[in-house]
Amino acid sequence: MKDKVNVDFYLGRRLNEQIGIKELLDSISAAPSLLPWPTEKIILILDEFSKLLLDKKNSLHQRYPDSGLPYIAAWCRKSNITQVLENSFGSIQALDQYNTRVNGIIKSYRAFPRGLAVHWMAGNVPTIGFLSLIQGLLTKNRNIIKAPSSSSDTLLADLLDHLSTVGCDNTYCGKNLTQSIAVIRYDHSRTKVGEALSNQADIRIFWGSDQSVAKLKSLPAKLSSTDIIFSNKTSFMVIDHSTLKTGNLQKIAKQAAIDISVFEQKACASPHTLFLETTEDEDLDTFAHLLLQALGNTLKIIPKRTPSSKESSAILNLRTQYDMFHKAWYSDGLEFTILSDTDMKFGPPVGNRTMFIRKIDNLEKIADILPDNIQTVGILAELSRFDTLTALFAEKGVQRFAKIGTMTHFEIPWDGYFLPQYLVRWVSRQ
Amino acid sequence: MDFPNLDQLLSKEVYTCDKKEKSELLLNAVKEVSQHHFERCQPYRRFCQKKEFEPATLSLLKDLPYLPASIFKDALLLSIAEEKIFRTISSSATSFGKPSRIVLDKQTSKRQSKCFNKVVLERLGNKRREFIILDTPESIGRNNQITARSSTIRSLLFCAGKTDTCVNEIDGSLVLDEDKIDSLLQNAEEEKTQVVIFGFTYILYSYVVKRLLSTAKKYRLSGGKIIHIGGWKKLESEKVTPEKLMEDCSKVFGVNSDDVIDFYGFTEQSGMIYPTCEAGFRHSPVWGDIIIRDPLTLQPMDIGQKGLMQFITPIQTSYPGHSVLTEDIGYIQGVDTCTCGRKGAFFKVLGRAQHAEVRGCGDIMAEKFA
Repeated sequence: MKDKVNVDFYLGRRLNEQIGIKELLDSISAAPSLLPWPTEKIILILDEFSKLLLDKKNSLHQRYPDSGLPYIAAWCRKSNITQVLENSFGSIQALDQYNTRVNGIIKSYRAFPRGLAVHWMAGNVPTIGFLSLIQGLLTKNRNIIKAPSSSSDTLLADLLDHLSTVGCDNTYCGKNLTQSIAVIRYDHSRTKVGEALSNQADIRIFWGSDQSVAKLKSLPAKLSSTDIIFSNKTSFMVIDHSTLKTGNLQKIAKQAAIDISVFEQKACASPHTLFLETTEDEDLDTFAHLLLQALGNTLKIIPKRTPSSKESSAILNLRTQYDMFHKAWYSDGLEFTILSDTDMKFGPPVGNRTMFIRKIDNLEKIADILPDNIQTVGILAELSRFDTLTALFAEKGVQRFAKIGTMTHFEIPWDGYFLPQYLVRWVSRQ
Repeated sequence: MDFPNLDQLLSKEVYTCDKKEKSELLLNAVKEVSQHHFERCQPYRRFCQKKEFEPATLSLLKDLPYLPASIFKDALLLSIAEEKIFRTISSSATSFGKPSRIVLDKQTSKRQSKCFNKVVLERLGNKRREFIILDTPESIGRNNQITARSSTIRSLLFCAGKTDTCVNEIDGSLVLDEDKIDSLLQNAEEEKTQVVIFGFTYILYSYVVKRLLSTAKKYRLSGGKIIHIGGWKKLESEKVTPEKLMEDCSKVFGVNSDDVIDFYGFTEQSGMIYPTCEAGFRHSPVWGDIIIRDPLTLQPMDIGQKGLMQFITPIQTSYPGHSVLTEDIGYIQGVDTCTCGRKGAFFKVLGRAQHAEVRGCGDIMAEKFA
């Protein structure tokens, strides 16, 4: 059949089959709605799921050692999910009942799911895709995830398989919670399948490169559907002069090493450049040595995967160039690399724990070269500088400021969006 | 410039020295040439100093620092005065990358040709043959700035008695002259001429062998040789293995499968060529060696283990290309013990690992084929 897609997860079950897109869309649409579910029950199931993931004996840890499972587990904990909903809606009950607000007149409001959320996932970080889906579930939507067709990584489907085994009681259990979810894959050149999927979506969530998102966005859609786009982004770190002179640099280097090591710098929140506010080479050299040591220590907690030969070549090339013409510090193998030159620029993003460190006499000057795709700035600065810099950089388009060491923590808002807010429609009554 | 140790090494036969005899000769020549580059190429000297490497203290080849092949795309490295540049060679640039550029002085050019010729003659036999080149007439023309593709073709022609090309460039596209190749092959068969058919791997298979197979046309080129080079990537996607290529070539050209020879080489060490032997392996000549390195730790690996391939040879003195780590993955099968009888490390190149860009000359040429 021409319209068949590969299905990894479907109606509460792990699958490895081909199903026609029309049949799949009909089944998802006919699956029991999550609307009658008290949000608290969804939170409890996710909390149980979190505990399951934290169990080191869980087979997922062997299968996906570098996929941030502890991080997903932490994100699904009751305390975090509750905070996500409260930050987005003011209450975890926004989708359960009408909540009264007095604003001159007495009115009550309730959030309803939009319907079908379709998530087009990027290949680089499947972890984030799962968190996108969790928000679709928390807002009681039906969800279809289009996973990258080229990837053999079935992390998303395997996570859902585990979620489906969690149970609170007969009605409110993982199996029923995952009834209205499908994880599918098909080659992006199959436009008809893409069109069928897109036409049914009430909300389209795109994760990926600018190029692929632009192509997907052009698929036909319902007039009422909303698009949320998480496209190419990059991130960097800054440390101001005061922190550089008085801060605990060893501790800072340790935290920076975490941000550099997580996801091998493939996440949009991963830093590729660190700007140090100083004019002295000695400051840069000192920090580079501390970072080198910290990256070595981080290998014990975040093991390194072997780069492809193309990636190896890119790293070795840069190391050689920087040894010949600039400065370079690196591990004996290809584990991590620190490079420094006198350029005033970002990156380039190389990945695989490759970090550029550059001196700058005044951090405000970065605003002059800021591209419009900066997602996160990891920042350490004294309070007044922190206020000035965050105001200045935010005005130039930066979407998030995080402490160094927490840059890749997925939080709400992300890329400027309180995603749950876009996954509901509001109904008011008087 | 004098390089007595290198001269002594090059006076040896290509594949007759065993490990014991070769080790010291090669080490001394590499030391001599490393010292030369260290003294004359400032970026190379800085690179060595950063690695706390002093050529004079080199005692094991595994301790010789290596340059990644891609550095020659980003930096023009010279160990000679600019006025001594005799020829610049550029690799095939791709849509994604820049070409590598290496410079030769007369001395290096001559030395490279000598080494290349020795290896080719050792494999093809010391006899002039008629060459049928699966490329354009321009590819065998002369010019100071040449591409790696035409450099490879031209360097082979030293042993050609007569040369014919059978590809034409029409409006920027390459088109095979089917009538011409048919007539050349028929003549060779009738006159029992021992021809050499030379082409880039993809062109040879996709545009010649496959077509002949589909028409069931067969030739009997007794004593003929088929030489192909570069670019397995496109054929891999068509599930054509080296064995299949060899078998199909034997079938359509009527040559022994031993006479279908796959040449491997790369611009950054031009002059070095590694033909497959009768047993299907490639051999390090006396003036070269190979080290396989772990793709993560970069440590040398044992015989049989697959990893990134580092090639060492002292034959270039105009640029520091004497120790190059490629993007290619391969393994060493053994040293001095190949059933073909040649000495030296014998190895297989398994190709570039995933994500590597299409780079070989043949792949680039294939993109231009109509």
